[in-house]
Amino acid sequence: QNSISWEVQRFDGWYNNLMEHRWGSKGSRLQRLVPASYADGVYQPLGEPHLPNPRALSNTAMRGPAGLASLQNRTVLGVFFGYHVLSDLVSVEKSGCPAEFLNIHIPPGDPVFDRDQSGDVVLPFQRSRWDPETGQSPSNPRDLVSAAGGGVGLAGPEAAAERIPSRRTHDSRGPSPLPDPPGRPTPGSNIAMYEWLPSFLRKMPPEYAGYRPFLDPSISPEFLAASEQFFSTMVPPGVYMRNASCHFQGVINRNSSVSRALRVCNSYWSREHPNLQRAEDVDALLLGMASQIAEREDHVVVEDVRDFWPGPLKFSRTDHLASCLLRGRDLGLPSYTKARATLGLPPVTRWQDINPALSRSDGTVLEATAALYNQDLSRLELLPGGLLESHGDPGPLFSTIILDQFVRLRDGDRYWFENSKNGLFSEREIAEIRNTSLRDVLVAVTKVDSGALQPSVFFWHAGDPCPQPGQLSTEGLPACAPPIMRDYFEGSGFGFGVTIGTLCCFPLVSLLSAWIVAQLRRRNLKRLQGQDRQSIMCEKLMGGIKAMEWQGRKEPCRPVLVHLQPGQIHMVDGRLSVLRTVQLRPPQQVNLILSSNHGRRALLLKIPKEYDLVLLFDLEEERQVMVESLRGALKESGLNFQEWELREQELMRAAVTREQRSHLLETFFRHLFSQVLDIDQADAGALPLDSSQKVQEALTCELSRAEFAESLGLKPQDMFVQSMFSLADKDGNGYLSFREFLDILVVFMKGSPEEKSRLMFRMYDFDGNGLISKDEFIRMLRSFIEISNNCLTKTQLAEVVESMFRESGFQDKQELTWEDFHFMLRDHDSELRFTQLCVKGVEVPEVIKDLCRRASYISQEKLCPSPRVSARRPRKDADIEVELTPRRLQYPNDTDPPQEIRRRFGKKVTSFQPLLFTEAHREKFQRSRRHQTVQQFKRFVENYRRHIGCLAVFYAIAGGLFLERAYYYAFAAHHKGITDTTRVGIILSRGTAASISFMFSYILLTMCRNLITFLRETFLNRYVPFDAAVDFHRLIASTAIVLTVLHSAGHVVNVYLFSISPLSVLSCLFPGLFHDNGSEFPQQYYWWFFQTVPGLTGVMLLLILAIMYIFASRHFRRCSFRGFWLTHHLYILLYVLLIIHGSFALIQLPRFHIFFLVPALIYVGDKLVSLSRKKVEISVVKAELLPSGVTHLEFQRPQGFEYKSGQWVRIACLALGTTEYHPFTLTSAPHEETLSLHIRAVGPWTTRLREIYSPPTDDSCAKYPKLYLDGPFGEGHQEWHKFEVSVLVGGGIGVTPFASILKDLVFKSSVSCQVFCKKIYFIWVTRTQRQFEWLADIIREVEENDRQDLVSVHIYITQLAEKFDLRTTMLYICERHFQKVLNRSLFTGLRSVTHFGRPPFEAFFNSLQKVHPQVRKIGVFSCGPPGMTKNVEKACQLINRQDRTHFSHHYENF
Amino acid sequence: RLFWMLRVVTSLFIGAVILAVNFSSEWSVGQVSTNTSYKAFSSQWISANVGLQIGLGGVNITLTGTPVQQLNETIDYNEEFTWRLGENYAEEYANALEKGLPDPVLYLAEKFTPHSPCGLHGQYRLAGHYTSAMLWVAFLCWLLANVMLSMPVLVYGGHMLLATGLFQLLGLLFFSTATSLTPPCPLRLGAATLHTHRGPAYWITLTTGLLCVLLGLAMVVAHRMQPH
Ligand SMILES: Cc1cc2nc3c(=O)[nH]c(=O)nc-3n(C[C@H](O)[C@H](O)[C@H](O)COP(=O)(O)OP(=O)(O)OC[C@H]3O[C@@H](n4cnc5c(N)ncnc54)[C@H](O)[C@@H]3O)c2cc1C
Ligand code: HEM
Ligand code: HEM
Repeated sequence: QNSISWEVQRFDGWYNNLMEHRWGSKGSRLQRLVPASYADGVYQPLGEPHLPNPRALSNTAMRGPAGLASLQNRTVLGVFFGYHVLSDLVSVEKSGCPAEFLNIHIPPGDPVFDRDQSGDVVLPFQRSRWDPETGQSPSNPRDLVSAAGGGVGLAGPEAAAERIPSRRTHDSRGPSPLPDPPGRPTPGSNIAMYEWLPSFLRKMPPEYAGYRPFLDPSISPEFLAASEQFFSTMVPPGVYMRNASCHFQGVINRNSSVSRALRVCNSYWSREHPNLQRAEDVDALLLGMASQIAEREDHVVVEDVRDFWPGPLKFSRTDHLASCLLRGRDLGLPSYTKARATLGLPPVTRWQDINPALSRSDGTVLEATAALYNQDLSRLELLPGGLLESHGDPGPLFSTIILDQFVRLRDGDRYWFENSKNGLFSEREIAEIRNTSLRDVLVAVTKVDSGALQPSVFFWHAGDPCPQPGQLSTEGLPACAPPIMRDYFEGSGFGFGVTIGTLCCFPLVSLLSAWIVAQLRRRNLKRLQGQDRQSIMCEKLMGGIKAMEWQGRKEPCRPVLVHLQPGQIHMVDGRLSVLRTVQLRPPQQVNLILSSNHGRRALLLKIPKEYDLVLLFDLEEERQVMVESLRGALKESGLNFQEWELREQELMRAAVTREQRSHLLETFFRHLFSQVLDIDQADAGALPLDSSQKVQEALTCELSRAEFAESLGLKPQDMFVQSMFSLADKDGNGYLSFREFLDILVVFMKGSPEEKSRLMFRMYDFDGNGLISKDEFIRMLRSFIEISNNCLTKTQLAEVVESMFRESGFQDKQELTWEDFHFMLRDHDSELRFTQLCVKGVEVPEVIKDLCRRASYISQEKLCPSPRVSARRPRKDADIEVELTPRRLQYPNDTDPPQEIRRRFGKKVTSFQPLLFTEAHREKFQRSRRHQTVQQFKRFVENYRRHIGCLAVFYAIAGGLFLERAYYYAFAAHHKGITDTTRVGIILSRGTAASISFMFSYILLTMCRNLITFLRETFLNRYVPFDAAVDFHRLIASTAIVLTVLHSAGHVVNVYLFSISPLSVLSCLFPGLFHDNGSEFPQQYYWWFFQTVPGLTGVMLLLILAIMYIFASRHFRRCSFRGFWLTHHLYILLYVLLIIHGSFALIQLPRFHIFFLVPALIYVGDKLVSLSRKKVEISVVKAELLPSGVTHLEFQRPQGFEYKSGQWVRIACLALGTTEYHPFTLTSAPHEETLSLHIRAVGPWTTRLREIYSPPTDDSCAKYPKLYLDGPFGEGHQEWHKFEVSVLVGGGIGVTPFASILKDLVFKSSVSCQVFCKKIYFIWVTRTQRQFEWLADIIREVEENDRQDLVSVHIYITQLAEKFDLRTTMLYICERHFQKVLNRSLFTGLRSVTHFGRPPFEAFFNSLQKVHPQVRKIGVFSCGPPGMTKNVEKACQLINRQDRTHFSHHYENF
Repeated sequence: RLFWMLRVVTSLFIGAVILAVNFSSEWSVGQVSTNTSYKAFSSQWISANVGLQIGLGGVNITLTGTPVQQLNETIDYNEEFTWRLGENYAEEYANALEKGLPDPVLYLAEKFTPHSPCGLHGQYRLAGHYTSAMLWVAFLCWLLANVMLSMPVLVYGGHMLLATGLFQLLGLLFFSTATSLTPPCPLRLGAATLHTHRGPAYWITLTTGLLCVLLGLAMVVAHRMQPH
């Protein structure tokens, strides 16, 4: 059963020795014969100033002509056989890791390597692999590691012998690429030991005396260096080829010239040499080598080896001898004299004694060498010394070293063929092997006649067959190919640049796509709005002619219905509201222009003094219908009209669009005002002569009523407009001319109160009888408050009028003369004085504004000390006191009567703004600037200390991670060697990678909404600002992107450096990826970017991030939230890619998942919580459409739904897709049974929501689509109850949280819950109070329940743009009266105070400080449009600068 | 009740399989009985069963004498060599040499060293690495699926189950591409050659993967047809 009766030897040399299994194995240490000599005693090689430059040494000691024959007639076959023997025994060529270089600096002007005399040529030389356990301390200096095991013994030469006859062995080995365990040794060992070695050393090794188990067969570094060196002197410049019949054949070179022999230097590595195609060629080569005499054994080495030895790929040629010298220094070889002494050779004391024969024949070599070594023989290295010794034979030093090594290899080898104990061979077989010579082998494998080979193939003596034609010298041989420098990066520069450029373009591409998305969305939204208009129109189509109105080149067309009525043309939209009315009055000249091309669909009606009407029809017939009826209508109203045709484009060009018209009007107004001022100054009314035609045109144009109304910001139907218009329109033609307008403006701008009130009087004296009846008075008031007609009944109005009459003592009058009227307004004399007509769209000229401002700053009495005003003073104060009375209770400490009347200043006075004694306290507050800044900073820190703390912790961790990695790669990772290749790149990229891992992981925590909502109720809220989660999210994201860019930049540097590093270096850095087989180029940049896992995923990550970040920018989020939402969910892909990114463990073990795991689990848990409740269907109980696009939804409260006022929920509507959730603040209070939301239609989702929940015709609530609800989520506003005094500022739809809070507060106080809160100011900023009437209802409810006067509500109506406009003035007057009488606002019907204009936050806060002097901290909560919250923020900052009450501001925009 | 039991058992089975398979070394297995040299310093041969089990994180090599007692020794070895990230296979192999493990074990282990010309190391290591990662993901999906199945969101549970299955199958794909891409490397032990083929872990992952996919699909389809 067992076919083999001997023990099989391992290939790697293990288990050769019974005791020391490792001895001689592959990868074990070299065994020194002589102690190492390193510069630092440990591992630094000796180098230049101490020892000469290796190339200089090689030039000095080893240069010489080729063509001298071996003194012993050694053949070339022996030389090359020896090479093979040795290369199997000793290969340390494997370079060490990390890569260390001992480069050969070529002396300037070297004839081979530095032909252009640059003087900076460096041939790379890399140090070899060493045993990491050595080289740390002086007693154990660095030892190299052998790549081939000496323990294999001379079985290695086995392979060498086998390799020669390549043909045969190939068949016998079979196709397997893997060498299997060797079988029995064959004659190779014998030939090497007993035939080749004696021929080489001319010394017979001692007789074999059996296996010596205690002998270490390991290779010594001395042997390693010496053997190779010695061969090189014998290498010829070329090799002959001959056939069996002694014919020396010519050799065809690459350039197809024919030469005598194969040139050595051009044949390294060339496997496809034209002369070596067939197996016979190899035979010819072997025979040629057997006949050829080697070079002389002296110090001279041929140029093929010395100058043209194949180098690394980067530098195609190197100096073999210089490399060997360096290898010797790398190995830490001892000096020549020391080695001789240690090996027991007689000492050499003089340079000449090294080689007496040489010094006799050519003493200059020795002298020159001595000069290089500073005449110091003790410095002479082993290699040059040994080489200089040789003369005909290796010198004694080399011989000793080599013989010693071979004997040890033989005697320490358990498997040596002569060792009969290993059971490999019988005595007979041993004898047979001993008798086999290389000649026998050659004869056997090459099929040549034995007569064609001499008996001893390692020598060629005279008389042997086939003498060589002559000793080969370099003459007649082709020249060696010169060295080539290869730049690994050559040709990659452009591609590399393009790649980087492309990476940089990712954001641009993303930007472009975001822009396209935004455009598409805008168009969709428009279409959506257009559609519903059209659909409604289709339903309600009645009368009129359908057409599209063209509104200008850039504007969209809108669908209209045209109603022709005698005297006017109405255009209505789908909802039947009038869009435009065109008046047709007889004297007008109208032009009707029809288009003549493009299907003849357009119609242009040119009406003087108005912008033109351009209508587009679907069909020509439809237009025809329109034209017919137009003609009829025009005739009917007796207008002249002309008709003609134009091409459509010209028609459109001819049309005066609305925009053009408004430009015209702008000029008109501008001139108007300048006129008024001119009048002011010069008191002259002449029109200026303006050359500009445009101005002329503008000045001759006339205002229609609609335009007039619009310029006042009112509706044309308003009574105020109507009366005003008819008053101004003196000629009664239905238009205001420049002159007419000017006249009336002059009164407003410049007139005295009397004039103004007379104007008013005339306006409302409808019947023109010079008296205003009560009825007319009521109509007047009504006209003022038309905008708020909701809350005043007729009787209330009558009541007001009564009271006003009574107040002035006219209770029994039915009609008022102008004097009476004026008297009634006397209180408000000053308001009237500054009343102007405020014209919308036109800047009030600065001068006028200045005037107002000045007037208001310096109290007006000073400006115009009218006795009348001062006379009225007491009354006025009384007036204010009345106003204040209801508020008094709350301000017990506020007893001072108002000292100065500053109420005209700025906005209307808030009633609780009792005093402004700025003068008295000025010094106290206004300290130095620096103090203020410090104070502001202190306040800032105080306000944001939690934020600052958290940020500091977060960034400290991130920075720490960065530093840890940076430190590691900069200082601690030297063993990896990567730092030497790319220092900055690796530090940057790995450091940032660590920080990025942390940031991208923990960014998830900021989005754990449920967790945050939960935690904010706990003590943690004192340390962590949970409100700022989203801001924090953004901050982290923006820091992370910066780091990511740095990371990528670092890797760009790395990739560049990697792609120019030789493979030997790369194989150290990435042992798993590269093997340094010496014949390959390093990978190019694109391989790193696109064919490695981190590279490709990195590029993808960059793309994803570009998309995510662009779409997440504020602008695009506003444009297309859906786009943001969808792209933002790429974060899942981002994490997947990030995990894959590091998974390849290219540089270090992946770490991202360690960072990621915890936050990811928390996040998923959080999402699961949301998921568990957000898929529960909730039915809507009630839906209401409120004005200004607000939808009110009331729905069931899910079980166990607990929330705080001010919190928000996310809802999805089943009818609108179950995945799209939108956040809305709850407007119901926690104690209520149901939940309610108020949703304003701003975008597609909310608009459609509004449509869906329009009240059904039959009211069954079951018909409403159901909702999904997720929440509640916390919000900064819910913290209102933590402050004694809070100010809530709501603007627009931002009042929703406060609705809930107010209700909650009042409920709590009414059920006499203990509330910390003492006072709440609610400031409601709205454009018109009509916008959010529903809130008024809530406020009313609050006011009714608010027994303890906890809430004080202030409403600011901003639409009435300028406080000095006439209408506002009148309203103000009435409002005051109304409040006095009914204790509620005329506008809103609320008890709260209504103001006009924008809230003066700073003044407001200032007065709060005085009202609540004992309160240290006041909470300000604002919610609404960013502009408003910003104002609040600014005001808070300003106030906080002072050293008083602290205002802490929380805001939210949506 | 029975249905509930069934559900729990299936779910536990799936989870257990995913976990077990991840640590199993039976992804590729091979077994040969042969006569082979046994140890250093001895020319004696033994007859033994040599087994090779390739897992995701390493190989397991077994050597069992037939009979177990030969040469007065008990020949029953089971050695593991791992190549997980962070572990150094070459070092383990060097330690094995130091330890002096039996020849066949060393021989097989050597074939998987990084520098072996067989090139098995890189392939199997990468494949194992990514397959293992996929299985971990599948395991997380399974956890999520369980959580979701116990919540009122059954469809999502279905989706997760589907994902579990898909990740297992993806893992299998990784493993098989890598193993089928490696050039054949004959493992000769004595006269016999060791051939490997897919092992039980592979097949059981395939079945559970398919099971998950089917269950998941069924749930999703059921939801489509009948949303409530
Ligand atoms: C905490 C919070 C509370 C809110 N409370 C109310 C409220 O009580 N009443 C109310 O009418 N509105 C409220 N909003 C605003 C409301 O969410 C958006 O108006 C609504 O989502 C718009 O959706 P859309 O598709 O119709 O409009 P789009 O045109 O798509 O968006 C308009 C703007 O709304 C924002 N937005 C859109 N969708 C979302 C979303 N899913 N999540 C967050 N922001 C989005 C975007 O910034 C976008 O610029 C609140 C927003 C937030 C963040
Ligand atoms: C400048 C960059 C970024 C900005 C401005 C930004 C902004 C936002 C905003 C405003 C939200 C809240 C959306 C909402 O619920 O209303 C959000 C959610 C989120 N963001 Fe970002 N983000 C950015 C970058 C990132 C990055 C880089 C990641 C992850 C790697 C990320 C992950 C998330 C996650 C997970 C959510 C939660 C999504 C959800 O609730 O479903 N964000 N982001
Ligand atoms: C051109 C682009 C990029 C290249 C070439 C690149 C390259 C690399 C490389 C080579 C590594 C080391 C991986 C290893 O050791 O195995 C790495 C790690 C890392 N990279 Fe990149 N990267 C790029 C872009 C990015 C981007 C855009 C991000 C961020 C989103 C990123 C985040 C990371 C992280 C977090 C790590 C650490 C991984 C870990 O430890 O698990 N990289 N990158």
